[in-house]
Amino acid sequence: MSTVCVTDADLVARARQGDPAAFGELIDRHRVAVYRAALAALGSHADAEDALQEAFLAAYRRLDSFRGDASFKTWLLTITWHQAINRRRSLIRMFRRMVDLGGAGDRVESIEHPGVSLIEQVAAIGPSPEQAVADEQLRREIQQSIRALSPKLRDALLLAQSGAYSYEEIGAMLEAPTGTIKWRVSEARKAIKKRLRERGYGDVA
Amino acid sequence: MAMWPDDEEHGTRIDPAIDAAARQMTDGVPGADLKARVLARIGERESSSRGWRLAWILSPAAAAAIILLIVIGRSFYGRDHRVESPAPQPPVAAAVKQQPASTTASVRPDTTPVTRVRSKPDAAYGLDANRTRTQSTPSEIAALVPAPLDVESIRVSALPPADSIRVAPLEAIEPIDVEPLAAPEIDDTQRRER
Repeated sequence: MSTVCVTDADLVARARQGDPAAFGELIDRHRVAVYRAALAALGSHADAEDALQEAFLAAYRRLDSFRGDASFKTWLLTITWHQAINRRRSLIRMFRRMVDLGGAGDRVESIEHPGVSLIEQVAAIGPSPEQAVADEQLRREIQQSIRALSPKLRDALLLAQSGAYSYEEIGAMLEAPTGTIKWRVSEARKAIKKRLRERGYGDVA
Repeated sequence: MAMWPDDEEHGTRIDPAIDAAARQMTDGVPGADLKARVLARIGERESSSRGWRLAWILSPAAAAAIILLIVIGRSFYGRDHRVESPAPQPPVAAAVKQQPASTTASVRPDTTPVTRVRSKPDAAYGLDANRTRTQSTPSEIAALVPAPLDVESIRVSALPPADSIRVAPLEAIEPIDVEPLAAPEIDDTQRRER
């Protein structure tokens, strides 16, 4: 039988019986979505990987408590989110560095493209160097503004814009109603725009 | 209320930029070895938990074995101490049985208590005990054994059968009628006298 036809519930049942391959299949299916949630919470690839590993281990330990009320993905995302939030609280120094407006924006890029400066990246891709630099400057300013948001608004915005989750899944992760999540996303946008205006980005193209 | 003159236009331009920036912040894939690492840790955990389970199963057996060893050790220890005690004296009753009956004197068995060695003697008591042990040798102890007595076995003749005791039945007693007491009549003169 092909694994494509196997549902998450089947894999969970097999994993409960001690089949590690079934749990490995579940990891393959959901690792990207789960990873993005951890990255949204922590802002660091290394920490997100660690949190992801802990989340999968915690999920394996708690497989018996999965009742199937929600989908396995939602259940796994909830566990991951709690793991990531616990890690974020324990790594308070890193959290402050994330919120810090100065220099934090370079960190993600340097991990994604080590050894390549932002200007070089923009110059290699953009239609014109001036426009590319301006766009990159704006993007960095927005990312700094996102980091400066309160945790509730930032988490909701990042999870919503990641494109990996529905509002219902975000609500399950953040333990808030869907309407509240939508409101938080809207408030986050307003706060970012306000900050950009204060920084002179009124004529952004 | 809009704080910016071209707020709506600005919003339509900036929203995609916000979306793109946020998406980029959560963009990424975990390392290729994530699955292997997680499964390896699950394997480690299961092997360690299996070890713990085995320990849980074996620990009562180990405890029982230790208790058994202690009991056996104590029994051997006690036997060794009994060997160390003075040679047992021949029981007088047995000696009496073996000898032919010659007298009818009553013989009381030797009630001398058997010497017992304390496993942990007191300091003062231990000194005396050690001294006693060093002073008395088996030959001396054997010399103290009393000579076997030459006594007849005690024969008790059976009692002659006696007549049964007959008790005459009690005679029936006639019932006694008791009349209620009546208060004596006292006149005024008698009352005054009293």
